[in-house]
Amino acid sequence: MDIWPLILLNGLTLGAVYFVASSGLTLIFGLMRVITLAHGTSFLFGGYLGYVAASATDNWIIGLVTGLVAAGLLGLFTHQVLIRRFQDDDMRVALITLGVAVIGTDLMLAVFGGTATQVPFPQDLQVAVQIPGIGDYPLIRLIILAIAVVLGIAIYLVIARTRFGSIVRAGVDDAPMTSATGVNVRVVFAVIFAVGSALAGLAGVISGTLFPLLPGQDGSYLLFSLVVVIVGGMGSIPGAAIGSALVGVVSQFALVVAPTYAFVLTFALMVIVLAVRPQGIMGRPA
Amino acid sequence: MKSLLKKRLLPVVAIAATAGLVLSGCSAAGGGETKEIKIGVLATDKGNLAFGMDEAKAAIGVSMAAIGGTIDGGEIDGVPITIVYEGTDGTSASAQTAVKKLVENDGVDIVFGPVSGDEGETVVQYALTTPEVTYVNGSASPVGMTLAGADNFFRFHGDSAMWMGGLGDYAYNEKGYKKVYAIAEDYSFPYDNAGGFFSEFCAAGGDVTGNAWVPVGTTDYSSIIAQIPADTDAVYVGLGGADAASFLSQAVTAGVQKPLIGGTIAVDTTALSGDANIAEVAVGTIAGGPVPGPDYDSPEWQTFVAEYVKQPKAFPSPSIFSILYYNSFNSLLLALQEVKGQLGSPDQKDLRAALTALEWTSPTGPISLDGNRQAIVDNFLIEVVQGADGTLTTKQISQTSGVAQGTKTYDRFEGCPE
Repeated sequence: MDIWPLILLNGLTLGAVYFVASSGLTLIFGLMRVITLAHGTSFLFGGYLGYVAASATDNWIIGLVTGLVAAGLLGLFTHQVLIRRFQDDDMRVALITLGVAVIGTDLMLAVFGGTATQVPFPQDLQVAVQIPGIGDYPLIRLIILAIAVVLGIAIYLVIARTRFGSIVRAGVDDAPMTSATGVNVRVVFAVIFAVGSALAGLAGVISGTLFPLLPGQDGSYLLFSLVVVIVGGMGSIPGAAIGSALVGVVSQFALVVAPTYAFVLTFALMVIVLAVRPQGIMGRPA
Repeated sequence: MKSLLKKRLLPVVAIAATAGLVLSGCSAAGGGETKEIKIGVLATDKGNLAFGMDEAKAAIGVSMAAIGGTIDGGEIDGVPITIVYEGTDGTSASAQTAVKKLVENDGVDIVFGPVSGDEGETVVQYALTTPEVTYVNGSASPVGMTLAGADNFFRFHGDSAMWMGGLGDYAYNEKGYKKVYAIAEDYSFPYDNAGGFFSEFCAAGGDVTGNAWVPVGTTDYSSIIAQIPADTDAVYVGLGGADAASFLSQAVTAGVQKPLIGGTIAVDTTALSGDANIAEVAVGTIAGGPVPGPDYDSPEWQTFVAEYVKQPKAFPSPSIFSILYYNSFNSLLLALQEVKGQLGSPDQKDLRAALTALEWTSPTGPISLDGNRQAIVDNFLIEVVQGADGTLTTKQISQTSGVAQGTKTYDRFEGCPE
């Protein structure tokens, strides 16, 4: 059997997790022009709380919702209490969110310990399905791919078709001018920050279903999200989708072809995109 | 003007700092009597072995409690002992930063640790440059560490090639596995661990159907699993901590039917006690290492397990890391008791003589050191079984006494190791 279609699908399903994590970051990054280094913390925080909720209720959906809401609230808190006053000072925001990340990492280590945990999901979903040309494939990975696709389309439609979306797009292009037209940009910023964090939290639960949750993943997912956003282009949801798919597929092929250099090749992708198209694949020149 | 001032000031500051260093160095080395002992502990608190710090503290807690102390310190013959902890993420770089901080900033007399293989190799190299500090290894186990010629570095447990002793023969002759596929993390510990297994397995007549050396911290094994050739009898899993847990749970969802052979840390209690549903693939896995099965009946083992489970954040049974940290830390404490807390000068010579001569019966059997300050220990082969209540545990297959280190070190290899 030829394994390449299988590896492609593995890459796309891994990319689905990256997409959910990085779509939030691309909104925050693109709109507010600030880097939140606490994005990985939202990811892991959402994942852990989703794990607790899913284990306690034996309901995977409740786990997903808990992770989403918890990380959203964390994002709202971080924005309203810590960075709202310094929002225009990107260096301060970076440092404050770095502080949140460092404190969050240690607190989560203290509470949840250092062993790997995994979000439980229904036994009925732990089956393989037949896919022509590939053979048996774990159903859960396809479900997660579907969640990411639906979510991506939903976010895209909200951004492209609704009034709120047009405000966000205007804010991405020119925040001061948007503000001058009477839009309360600060509220928009708060909402986007909370939504961005919530998406990271949802990604945490999704990732925790496929892979273990453990300390240190906050850092690695922050890094992957940054790579995706840089490759795809700041503030672009289609860009995040393309970027995640590329990062996922490249890392899976690299793992098969040259496992030792799997990480190197993933970052080489970023280097190549930056060299050829500095604004990212779907990004517009600043 | 400002830069001129800077230019003039710099040498003065440098000279003052150097003088300060020399003076403090003199006072530490020159004084004959040891008034205080500071032990710096290195352990992982991030990455795939993030539970390392809790396990280190549990081990030190058991050991210190026996002399009336705590994980933060105690006293031996009137000499106070302080223990400070420094967390790492299991990589060389973080171990380098942490050990330098312990020695250069905290001024510790003894470094205890680290957890992971690459960290160990880094710490040994650093030990060569700081002969005045004594190093007792925690659980890092590449073969080459005690062959590097650092006579201030002591290891009170086996290396990772020793841990596989007997498993290759067992897999080939008893289990009848003729062709094995190897999946292992890409760093020093799995090289030696897999090297130890495959050199024996290949010598017995076995074949390797492929090697996948994956980066540490890989979470998605789906494509690696897809590559396992159909004509493979068993899969060697040289992964540890969260990586092993990831692999095992994905092997279940991907429907892997092949029996597994575990590297030393693949089917440890840390993986088996996780809440992922791995029984389907984990049961029947054979592995070799310094950890006996729970049915092991030595009194020292039973005492240790009873004390271990009382520690905060302890696993249901001790992991390989707490056992190695305990055996090593207790060796250090016994040597400190032997010299009544007096390290000796120059270069802590009394402590080192006591460490070298130490012989005691640890929970996992007698420990003594060879000429390279490397332990001669007992080794165990185990198999994963499902308990009556459905939980996963291990059963001991065999025990080998007095296993000594070979001198062969391994690098990444394709097929059989050379």
